[in-house]
Order: sequence, then structure tokens, then C-alpha cells
Amino acid sequence: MAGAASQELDALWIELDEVDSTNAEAMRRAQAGSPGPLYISANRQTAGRGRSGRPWQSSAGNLALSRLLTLDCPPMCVAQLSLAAGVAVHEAACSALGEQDVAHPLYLKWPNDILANGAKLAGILVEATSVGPQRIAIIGIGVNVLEAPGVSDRATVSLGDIAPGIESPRAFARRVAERLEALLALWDQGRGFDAIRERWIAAALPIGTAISVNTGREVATGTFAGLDPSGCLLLEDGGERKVFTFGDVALIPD
Amino acid sequence: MTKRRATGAGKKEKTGMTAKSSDQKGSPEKEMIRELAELLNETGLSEIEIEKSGLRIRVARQLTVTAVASTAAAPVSTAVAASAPAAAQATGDEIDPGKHPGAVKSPMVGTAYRAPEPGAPSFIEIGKRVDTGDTLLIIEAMKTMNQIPAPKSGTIAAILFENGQPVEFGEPLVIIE
Repeated sequence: MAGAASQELDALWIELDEVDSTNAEAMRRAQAGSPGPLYISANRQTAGRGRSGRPWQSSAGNLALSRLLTLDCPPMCVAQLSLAAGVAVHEAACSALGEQDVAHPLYLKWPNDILANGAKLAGILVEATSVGPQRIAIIGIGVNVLEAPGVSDRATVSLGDIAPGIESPRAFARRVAERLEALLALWDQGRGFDAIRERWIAAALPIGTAISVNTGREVATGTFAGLDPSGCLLLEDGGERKVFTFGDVALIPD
Repeated sequence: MTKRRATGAGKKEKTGMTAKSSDQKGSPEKEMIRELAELLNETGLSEIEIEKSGLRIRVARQLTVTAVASTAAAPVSTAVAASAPAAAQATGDEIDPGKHPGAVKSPMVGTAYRAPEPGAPSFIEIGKRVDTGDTLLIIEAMKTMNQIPAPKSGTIAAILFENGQPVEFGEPLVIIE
């Protein structure tokens, strides 16, 4: 990255050794009046959070990063950040692996899981709230860089597992931030989402992959058919297209 | 995809109006009754009675909680009945909560949650006060957790969504009075 842009990132960056959660810290700073943009990174999180209050384990071998931004878009566009962040992490991970011979390509699973051979490499959680009249969002990113935590209900993998000698979490954090800045500029408060959507589809598991979608109410099965214009998941089931705004996606084994 | 659900909300009510006067031919009484009925709406009171120069007017309403469907075991507070809006003209009709001036409508499609995480206390309860900007609920869409703020201060009169269930764009979620 060019020196000038790197300095710009430095100016936005707060690096902590340990914090409860980088998202929580970004939220506190927003409530205290920081308008963003702002990055918070931490070597260790003591109370990292995932979706639905699931704990997100992050030790010193992992990346914990949050980006605070102010929102000036319709409420329904905010969820697009989730996809944009997924693309940013996917691109950063692919570029960090570089030319190394990777047995299993990384791909995005809707909305923003990054998987290698079915195992989870990264997690992203976007939180949006109001500070006075201003809407803000915090993009929380966790990546297993050097080590993957053991999680009972799902397979996990780290970049280090895929490619020994991978860069440090600190260096990888900068790589993610550079990609994220480019994607946020492209997103342009929702106006540039079409381009993000195309990049997301290009990085996703192949169209036609057999998947199931669990909405908590029903489990639909079919094949992955891309994203609709607003970023919702498309599932094809016997010639019928279904649109999902939420739900847990799982691959159906061959 | 979803139907409107009421969580412990007073949905049906009857408005009773009685006027006792030596002269009931004119329309000023009607006007006064109408005004009192409106006042009942605004204040959330169940009964208003006034007496003025030989004329006594009592405007009251009976509230019947008809829809108590909650999987989240939300306590059906007596505050529901006390603070539900009065229907000035309709008697026994279902009230459309979306037309309530204090209705907070969903700004997006997603899944609604009453608490920041499973097991945590709910953001709001019926009968509790909220200030402008307080978080009422979270709507999740594509792993984005959107905290929905109270657009105004007031008392939570009704919670119209079920925890963890889908909500549609424009669907009334909460009524603040």
C-alpha cells in the first residue's frame, strides 16, 4: 500500500493489547462522541462476541478488528456492510496466501462466513445503532490467523493451517483494513452496492451448490443461485426461486 | 410471510358514553363527549367524568385483552389494559396498531429480538418508560444487528412482535404512548 494511504490508516487506528471486545470498545467510543472513521484492533479479546451472543474466542494468534463508521443510507442498506466486509476479508485472506499452493480455495458462504474445505476461517458481525440522531455502524471482524480455536459444534481452520509461515495478525489486520477501505468507498452508502454484489458472487461458493437454509422456522433446501439486487440469498428449489434475508446456510454433503 | 401478532396487547375495546342532562336536544353535549373521548385516547385513562351546570358526562371504556400469544413468555401486565388506546368511534372493532400514532414500524425486513443476546434482560417491557434514543429491540438482517431506537419518549403500551421471529418492512413493532 502507498505510504500516504498507510499514514491515513495510522491516523484512524487504535491498537490495544487486550479488550473485552473490539466492537464494544468501538461502541463506547462512538457513544463518547467519536464520529469515526475509526479502527480498533486488539491482540486479545476477553469477551469477543459472535452472532446471537455466541462467544468468539480470540487469543493472541487471531485478528480482532472493528471499524466504526457513520451511516447516511436507508436502514435497509446497512446489512450490505455485512457482505462488503465478507468480500474484504476474503480478498485479504486470498492475497495473504498469495501464490502458495492452496489445496482448498477460500469461499464466501452467505452472508459472510469464510470457509476453507467447509471449516470456518473468519467471522463478521455488524452492529448498527444510534448516537443521538446519527446512525452509526460497527463492522466487527475476527479471523483465525495463526491458530483456530476449537469449537464444539463446527470445524474451524486458520490461515496458518492452510499456509505455514503466514504473516502476523498485526500485518494481516492492515491488509484487511486496506481492502475494507476500498470496499467502503465503493459501497458509497449503498449507492455502489451493485459492484460489491458482483464481487461477492465471484468469491462465493459456486452457483448450483446444494445448500440448506435454516430460518429457525423452516429448513429450505435447494441450490445456491446467487444474490438478489439487495444482497438477499437466492435459493433455487425445483425451478422455484426463494429469497432469504436471514437464516443459517449449510452445505449439503454430496 | 408473516402475520401481525400481538404480544400481550389489548386489541379490542369498548367505549361507553353516558350523558345525563335536562336538555339533550342540542349538539354541544356531543361535542363535549367527542372531546372527552379524544382526551381519553391521549391520556390513556379508562374513565373521565365531568360535571358542569347541571350536566354530568362520563366517558369510559372497557378493555378486553383478546390476543395474548407469546412464545417468549412475556408477562401480560395489567398495564396493557390500562394504557391501550381508546377507540372513540369503533365499538368492538379490531384496532390496526399500524395506525396508532405511537407505533414504531420496522425499517427493514429481518428477525426481531427483544434482548441483546439470548438469556439477557429484554430492552423493554410493557408499562416501562423509555426515552428518545433508547434501544427498543434489535432487527437482524444478514448478520447485521440493527438496534432500533425509540423515536420519542413515553411508556411502552404494546409489544407487537415475538422474540426471534421474522418482521416485515413497515410492520408495527412497538407502541409508545
